[in-house]
Amino acid sequence: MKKKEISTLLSFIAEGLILFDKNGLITLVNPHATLLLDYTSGELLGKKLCNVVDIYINKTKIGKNTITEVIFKEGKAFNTPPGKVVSFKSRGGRIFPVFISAKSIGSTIGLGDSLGGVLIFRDITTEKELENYKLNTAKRLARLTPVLQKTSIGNLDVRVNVPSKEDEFTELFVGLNLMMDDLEELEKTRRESEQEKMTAVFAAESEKRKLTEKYSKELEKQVKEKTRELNQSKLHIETIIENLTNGLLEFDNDYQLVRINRTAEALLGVERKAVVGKKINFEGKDPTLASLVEVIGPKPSKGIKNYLGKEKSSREISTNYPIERDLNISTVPIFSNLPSKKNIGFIKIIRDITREKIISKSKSEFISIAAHQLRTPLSGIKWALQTLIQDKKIDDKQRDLLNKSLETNNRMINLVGDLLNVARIEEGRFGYEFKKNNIEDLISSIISNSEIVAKEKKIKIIFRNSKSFKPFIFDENKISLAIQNLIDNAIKYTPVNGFITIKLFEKDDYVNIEITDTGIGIPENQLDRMFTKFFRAKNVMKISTSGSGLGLFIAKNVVDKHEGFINFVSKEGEGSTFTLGLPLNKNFIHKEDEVIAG
Amino acid sequence: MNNKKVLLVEDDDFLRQLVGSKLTDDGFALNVAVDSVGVFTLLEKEKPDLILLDVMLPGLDGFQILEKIKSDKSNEAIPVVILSNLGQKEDKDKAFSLGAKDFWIKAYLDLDEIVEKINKIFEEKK
Repeated sequence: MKKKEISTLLSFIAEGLILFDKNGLITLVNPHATLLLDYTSGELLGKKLCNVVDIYINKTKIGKNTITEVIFKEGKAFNTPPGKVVSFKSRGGRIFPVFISAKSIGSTIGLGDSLGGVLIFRDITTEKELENYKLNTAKRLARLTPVLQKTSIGNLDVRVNVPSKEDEFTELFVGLNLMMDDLEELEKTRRESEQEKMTAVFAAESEKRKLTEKYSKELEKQVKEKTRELNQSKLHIETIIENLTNGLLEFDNDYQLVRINRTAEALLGVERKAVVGKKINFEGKDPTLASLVEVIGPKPSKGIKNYLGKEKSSREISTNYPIERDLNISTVPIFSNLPSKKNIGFIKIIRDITREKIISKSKSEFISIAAHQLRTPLSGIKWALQTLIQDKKIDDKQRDLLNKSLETNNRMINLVGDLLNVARIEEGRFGYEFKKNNIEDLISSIISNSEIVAKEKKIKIIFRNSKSFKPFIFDENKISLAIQNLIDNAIKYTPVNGFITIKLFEKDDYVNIEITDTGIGIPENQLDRMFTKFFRAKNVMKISTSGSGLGLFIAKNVVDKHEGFINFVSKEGEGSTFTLGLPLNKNFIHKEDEVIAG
Repeated sequence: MNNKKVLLVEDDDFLRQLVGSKLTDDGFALNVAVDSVGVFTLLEKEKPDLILLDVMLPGLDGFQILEKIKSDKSNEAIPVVILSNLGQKEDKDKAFSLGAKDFWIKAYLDLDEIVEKINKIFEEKK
């Protein structure tokens, strides 16, 4: 191949290529080589390479004939030693790493046959840089390893040392450090929050402990207070019990006396030390315990339950010891406040009713005597006046006067009778006598009694009977009194020429006696007071001052006792209608008065 | 007129006088007593046809006298009417249980009515 052609060919090679002869003198360079070495080919040709270019292995400049000696004398190829960097220094002074490969050309026979040598080099600055970069990166990253290792086990104190010279890792390192800082901060926060939590838990526990202590102290205080209160109230109750004006005895279920108060001691003539805590001997003959035994009552044959019942019971007894007394004994069972409600004993309350009895008896006697004592002179006057009225020797004027006196006297007698009845009613001893009676006969007889008075006022009494009634049970005298009172009122408060209509009929198992008058009526605002004792309506007071105001009170009580009813309608100035109802069924009537009367 | 013998037992002078004169005027043969002593002294001598007996009396009261009369065979047949100003149910019950013929309340009766009632009793007896 011609030299020119070779040159042209070589100029296409992207590596620096230098041909030299056996003496090391450059015979050919390609453009790439001249470019890299910063010489023209003319400046290089004929010169020794080592005289124009400094060659370094690593940082050490190699000897001037090192290459030629290696390839020509040693017959080896000169290559970049492994692990080392060969660098060229261009004319401009630029040192750049190169890939270098030089060897002799031509003869394979012996060293002496060499035609020359060839040196190929390539600027490996970029490659080196890359390599350096790789190395550097590996080195840098290697520095991270321990940091990361420490971090991974939770040690966040370590930091990557950021070189003062900024490079592409600076950001990473700084970032890493920042991350570490963040982590550390997080950790710190976590620790702090943990600490806070711990502190909070401790605080809470301590608070709890304090509260518990406080509560238990409070509780203790309250218990003390309650105990004191209980003691106080026990004392209080005991004081009250001790000073009750009623006697009080408490027994357990076994008839053992638990307590006795002062009044009971006095009433029964016993001393507590002799009886408290002891079982009362029913058969005992001790006269000083007689009253106590009497208070307890007859010994129950079938145990205390049968004896006591569930409710309070009351009875009256008379005792002789220590003095004669009438006592009211109330027995109250005591029940446990446990759900079982078990009977755990009983209390006997003793009330001294001696005086009450005397007073009640005196009152009763007084009423009888008063009635008698009042009626006796009234009877005398009545009879005397009647005797006088019948005397033919007196004139009409005198007779009129005497008649008026008699009338007044009769009112007096009626008033005394009313008062006596009211007293008896209030005493509960009106003395009822319930038996079968004929209501029609009764009404007819009352009407005939009243007709004399009615005629004087020219009042007509009309009796309308719907049917014939069989006798039924009621107290004839008392019902007579009630009906008489109603008819008396009707006559009294009906003006001259009026009418009184009495209707007798049955309605809903009640016998109705309806008395209608054409009288003055009852003022509307006084209707509700009609049946109260001593009530007299305003308009009535203007007409007549007589009248006890007891008639309707008595009538109402009598009818109530019969479980009947009494009601009325009235219009002032037009008249009134009173209706009295009596039950036909005898079971409606209660028996207590019969018992008392008996 | 009828000559029926009535024994009036009444301690109140005024009442005794009024009833007594009424009965005498109406033709009854009247004896009066003011207490139990008088009653039984008279009963020894003569048996009346009717006794009008007050309750509130000095000494034995009307009920006791009634009881005594009724327990004496020689007197038990004589009708005894209580003429009193008592008059409650228990008084009446007591009187009737002791054998009283009737129970009249003075204040509620006229003298005429008393005579009327006496005559009724005598008529019943016939």
